[in-house]
Amino acid sequence: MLWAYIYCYQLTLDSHNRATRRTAAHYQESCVGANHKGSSLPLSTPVVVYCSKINKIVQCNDIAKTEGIEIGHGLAQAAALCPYVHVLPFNEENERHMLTQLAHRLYPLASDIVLDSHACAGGLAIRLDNLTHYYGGHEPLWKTLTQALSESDVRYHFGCAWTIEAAKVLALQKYNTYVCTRDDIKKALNACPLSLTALAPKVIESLARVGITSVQQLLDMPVQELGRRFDNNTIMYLTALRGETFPRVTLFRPLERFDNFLLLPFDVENIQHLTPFVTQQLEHLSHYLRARNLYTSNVAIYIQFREAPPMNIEIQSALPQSSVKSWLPLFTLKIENLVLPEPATAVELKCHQFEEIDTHNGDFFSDRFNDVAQKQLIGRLNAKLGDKSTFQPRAANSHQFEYMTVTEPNVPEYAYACDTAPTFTFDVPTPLTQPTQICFGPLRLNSEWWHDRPTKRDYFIAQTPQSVRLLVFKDEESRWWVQGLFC
Amino acid sequence: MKYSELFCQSNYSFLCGASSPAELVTTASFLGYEALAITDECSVAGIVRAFDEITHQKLPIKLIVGSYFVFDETLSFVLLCPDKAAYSELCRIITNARRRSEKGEYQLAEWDLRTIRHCKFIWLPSGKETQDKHWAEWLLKHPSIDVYIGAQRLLDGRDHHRFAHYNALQSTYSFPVIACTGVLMHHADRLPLQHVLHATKVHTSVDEIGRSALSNAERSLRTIHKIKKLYPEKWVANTNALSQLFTFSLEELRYQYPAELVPKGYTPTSYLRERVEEGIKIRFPEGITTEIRQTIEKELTLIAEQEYEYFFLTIYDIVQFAKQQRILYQGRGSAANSVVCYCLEITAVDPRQISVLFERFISKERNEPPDIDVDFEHQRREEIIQYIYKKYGRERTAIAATVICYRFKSAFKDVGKALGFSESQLDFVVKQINRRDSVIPWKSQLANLGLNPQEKRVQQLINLTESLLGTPRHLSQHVGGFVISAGPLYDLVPVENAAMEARTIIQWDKDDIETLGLLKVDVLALGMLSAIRRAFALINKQYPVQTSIPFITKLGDDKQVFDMICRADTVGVFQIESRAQMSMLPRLKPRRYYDLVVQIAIVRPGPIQGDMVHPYLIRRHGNETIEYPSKEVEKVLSRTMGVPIFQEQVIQLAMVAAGFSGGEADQLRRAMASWKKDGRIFEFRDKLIKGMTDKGYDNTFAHNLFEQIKGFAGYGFPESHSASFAVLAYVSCWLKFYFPVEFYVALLNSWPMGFYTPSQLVQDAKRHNIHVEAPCVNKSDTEHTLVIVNQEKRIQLGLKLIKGLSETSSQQLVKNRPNKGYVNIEQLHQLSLKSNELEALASADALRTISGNRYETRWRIMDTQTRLPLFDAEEKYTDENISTLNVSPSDAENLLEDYASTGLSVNNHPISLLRQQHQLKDISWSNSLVTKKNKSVVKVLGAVTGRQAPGTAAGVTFLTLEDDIGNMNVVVWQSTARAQQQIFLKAKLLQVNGIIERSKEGVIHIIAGKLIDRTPWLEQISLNSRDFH
Repeated sequence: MLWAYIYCYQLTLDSHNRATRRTAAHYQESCVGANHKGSSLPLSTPVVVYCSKINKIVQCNDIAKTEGIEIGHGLAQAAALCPYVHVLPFNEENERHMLTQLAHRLYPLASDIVLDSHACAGGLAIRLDNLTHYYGGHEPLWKTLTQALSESDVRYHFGCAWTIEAAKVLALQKYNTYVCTRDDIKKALNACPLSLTALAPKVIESLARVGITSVQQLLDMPVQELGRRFDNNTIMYLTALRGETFPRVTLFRPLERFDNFLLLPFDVENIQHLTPFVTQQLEHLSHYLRARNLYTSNVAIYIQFREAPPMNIEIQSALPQSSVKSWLPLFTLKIENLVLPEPATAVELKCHQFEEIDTHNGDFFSDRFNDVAQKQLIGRLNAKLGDKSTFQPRAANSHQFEYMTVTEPNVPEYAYACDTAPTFTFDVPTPLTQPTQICFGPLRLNSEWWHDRPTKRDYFIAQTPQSVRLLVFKDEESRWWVQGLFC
Repeated sequence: MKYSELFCQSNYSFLCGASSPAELVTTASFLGYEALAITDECSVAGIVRAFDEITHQKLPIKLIVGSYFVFDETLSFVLLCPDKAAYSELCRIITNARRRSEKGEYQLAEWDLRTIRHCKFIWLPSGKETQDKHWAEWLLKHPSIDVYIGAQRLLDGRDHHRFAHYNALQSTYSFPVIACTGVLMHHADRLPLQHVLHATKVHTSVDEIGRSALSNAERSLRTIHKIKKLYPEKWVANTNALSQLFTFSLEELRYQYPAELVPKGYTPTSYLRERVEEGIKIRFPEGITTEIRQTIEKELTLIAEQEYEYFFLTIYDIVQFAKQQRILYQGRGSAANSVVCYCLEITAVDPRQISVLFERFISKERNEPPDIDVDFEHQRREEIIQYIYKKYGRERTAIAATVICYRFKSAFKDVGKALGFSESQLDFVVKQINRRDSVIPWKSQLANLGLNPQEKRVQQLINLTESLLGTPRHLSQHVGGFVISAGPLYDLVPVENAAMEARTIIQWDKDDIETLGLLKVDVLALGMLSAIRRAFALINKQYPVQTSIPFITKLGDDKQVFDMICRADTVGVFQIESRAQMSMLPRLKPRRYYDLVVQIAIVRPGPIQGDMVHPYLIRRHGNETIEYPSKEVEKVLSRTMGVPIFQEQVIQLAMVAAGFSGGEADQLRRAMASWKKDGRIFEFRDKLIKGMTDKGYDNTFAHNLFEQIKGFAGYGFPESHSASFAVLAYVSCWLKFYFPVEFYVALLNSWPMGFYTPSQLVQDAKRHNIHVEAPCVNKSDTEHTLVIVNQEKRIQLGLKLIKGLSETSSQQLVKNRPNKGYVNIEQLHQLSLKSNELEALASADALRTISGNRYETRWRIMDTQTRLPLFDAEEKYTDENISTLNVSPSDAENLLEDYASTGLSVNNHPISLLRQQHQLKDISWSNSLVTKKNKSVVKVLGAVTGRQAPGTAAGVTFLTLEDDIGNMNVVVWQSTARAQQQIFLKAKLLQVNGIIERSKEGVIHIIAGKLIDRTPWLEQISLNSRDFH
């Protein structure tokens, strides 16, 4: 067997660089002549990727390196060395997404791919020996693969060896040379330090404390001698490293749905500024659909944030579509009234439902009233008018009468949270103009000081001569207002 | 109209009450309340503060003691204490409820309710009819409980319902209804803070607290006029009638010291006198002067007047126990000002050596209990604690509490979280804010950290953080302050569980104890005492003369010892071992005991910030004439050359120069101790300056003195404290000079303690030409020992140094060691030691006498098959078995293994290895620096063992470089550090090209110019530097 291990050591950083370049290009195209630079960072900014779980820098660009920052530094040390360093948070799940996307890209070229994503970096193993006869030898195969990798704009180190384990050691050693003979592989492995192997840290320490620090020393040691001192897992790994056994692996299978993740190069505060990134995602979707001769009428966009939970934007189309041109206006309509709770860090586009193009659903005008059901109508209304256009009442957790009844689409329950809550509450109180008689109160509200307009009011239930009961209040200036109406 | 509030929670109801007890009583008094009950939740922690405020401000208001309880969701109530019996009952109930639960929690049992006899029971009905009916009937069945219904009117929309419910309960069950508020704030303005506290309690933000938060500020102290409008007259009248029944005052708490200390036939006074007379014979065998006799008589009279005999006798008893058990101890603090304490062997400071002023210890005018802190060996303090528990019983003994209050960081973070700022942003801002920056206040710094101070929410963050500062957060355990009483302690104060198992704390802290005149015994731990005791034991084993602290102090000031101190050869000794102290020693040149007292006190942030160091040095070397503005000032300052160095001097100056009374000076002292917390010191500023100018002192002198007082605050060192520390500092120096091997062995065995790592101590020992042997399975004990080889004393490092070897295993190794020592590994296997422990021994090279090199030995031990019973000993360790590993460690690898296994190496130093590998001809080593010309350029190389950037040093960082010969001090100016930041921050092995700066006194510094990172040379040799930023 011959495996290549592609060690993608800076996926987050690569994604950031790609997006930065793209944004720069987008602004150049769309704002020629205008003094609008957007909020993207210049490519000369020192950027690091920081993993808070282990408090270490796990990826850093060349500019950051020239400032003295190294992988393994803590955040404080990095900030001390370069106060204006741009820090991207490391997210294991995001890295896995990016690795999967890469696997998707390579899958048409090589069928046996193994995803190897671990704590702070990930890699792909590709089996080569069973492909060489399709490509006419090692060289064309490797050329095709590297061509695809360079198109993906991902930086990597690689190694080739008889097992994934051995190839990985070489990739971590940054061997970056295509070797396929046993002797060459052995020679290359011998030069590697033990710390690059996947042996448990305890085992590596144990070996170091008897003077064994290189792979060569380990491979030279008789297996039975090692067997007397280390557990089965270690021995299994060692035999795989020697190319004597081939551990079973789970091969990558592409997803049957579309899922594309994009890490933003900088935090985007304004939702309108997400458009270039979503366009990019929609382009990917469009390629995906065309390659499969599919359409879809439902697209979900997840906007991710640092602290807040992801924002889900569902876009529904009455007609199944595939092109960017059709989806983008719907997206633009949808986001018109949306405000981001905090700056966005990533965008993910998912699509689960597909429709094949056939003659039956080719003409939507023949039976459109049946096709466009109530839900779709609400969906389109929402897309055009915003989420708050269709709503039902719901009781909220607040002392404020204004917030006591809130609206939320598709929530059937309707309950009063307070026994003094009126049937109808006015968003904006109206001045009390008619004579009334107080029949309940006061209820003093002194709250919401954290808002721009803190409330200091005394509420009463008052009755008009026509026996209409009103919720009224007196404000700080002793003016009377009507807040709601009891039925 | 009269009114008394009978339900009021202070901020000692943690994360609930938003006002301090002092604010509550002051406001209630201002509003004309007749009485105020402080009823914190299952606690009386706040009542002493309220009592103190009423007493000090002479407020015309009665304080009622009580507590609020939540039994479960259906029952909550307030217990109030009309008399002393009720107070004891309340303390018992709180104690029981608290002791049943984890720290900070409580759990009431129905039994607690049934046993209520004396307290008034204010029932707060839940408003749920079924549950309230159940409890009303339950209360009716227990006629011993005097029940009142507490009616609350909160204008929250439910008052009508509640009032109807109260009336129904009253008419059905005939419980009288009283009016109460359930106060949480002294003023309505505190509502935002209360919301923040509540949001913190329920782990959410104010945006999200919703209906669980207060809807208005009605739970504040309301005017009596308003109360009259809100409640029926009858209910208010009931409240007033009830409040008349409360006669209990905290003044009634009479603290009884354990009486068993005084034998039959003696009064406390006569017994104390007898003990003192006995002590005189020990302390002054040659007899005492008339002056000392007069001082003793004066002290004894004052002690008798203040009835403090039991207190002295309790501490006497404890130190006698320590003495019997040969546990070294020493009294410190203001007790060092007492000759009686010296005679009772509590302190070791000979009164003839320092200026004794007993008034500083006990003063009739101050009327506060004396403060006697006793340090014990840190490794044996637990024995003393157990003795106290055993002697007085756990019912009568508990540790004082420490109230943990919100400090800047915690306040900023909690307020920020409550206002909805993200945690990562708050973390970042808190880390970046420099609170020491005296130029830009922290609020202004926020602007540079991404928070706009003009924004409303940021302003709220600032204001609420300020309000939250100093608010109590929870109770914790005092470091060692014991309260011991004659009867059960829970009659006096509630006791609750501390975080540490089998430890209980009372609900009052040291200030409360002081306010109520209770006495506490401070049992503290000090590492150096362990080391000194161990050194004495080693010396006394070898020589007939019994060495002890008094023995050494009686020998008088030793010239050679002081020579050593002046050379700053003080690694490992007490107090004067730090980098700052060491660089001051050659300048101050201590030649006698009192110089050490000054030396210890002068290298502190207080004197440094107060700009007192330089003037003192100039005057000490006779370069400046000393002038005093008056005779009184001269009397206070003459012993420190006219420069105030001790806290006592500052206080005395306030008295003699500004005309402060004893009481005022005492308040000033308290304000000094807590000015960072509450800034109360500024209240004294004008009075102090006016007082001095009125007395004819120069205005500049007055302002300078106030600045010095501010500098001292929090950091000032009392003379008595310094005097006690100076004794230990001198004794440790004496031991280091005359018995260095014993000293290092004792120090290493007492570790962790002090400033230096074992590695640094061993390096220092080697510099003193002491031979140090690495741990060995055939030579070492568990602890480090002194061995004599060829009539030379050596240090034999113990097995305890080996990482990964348990104490039990090392004891087993030593216990079972054959007379001729172990001869093969199999013998060790037979001891059933774990294989990883054997491997640890091999890696530490402790098996070198019975096996090959450490790699081979470890390889053989790792072999699991040789441990199978079918193999016999011979077969197990044949040469064939080891031939598979053909690796032997190099010098560098040996060094690496030494550090990995024991944290130090006795054979090699990384620098000496580097010297063999690299051309280092132009490098100057630490021993050659003395021969270099002042201001000449040098290149030095060493491992960075310390980076110290004191806040007082204006951006300068002091680096300590260690080579194989000694330490070097490098000064890095801020600009140099910035220009070469990468190397400055990262280098573990550093070459510094700089300029030698030698002071007149011979202190050598290298002023760093170019920094070169030589860390790659070290490769794997791991030397962790101690960074102090």
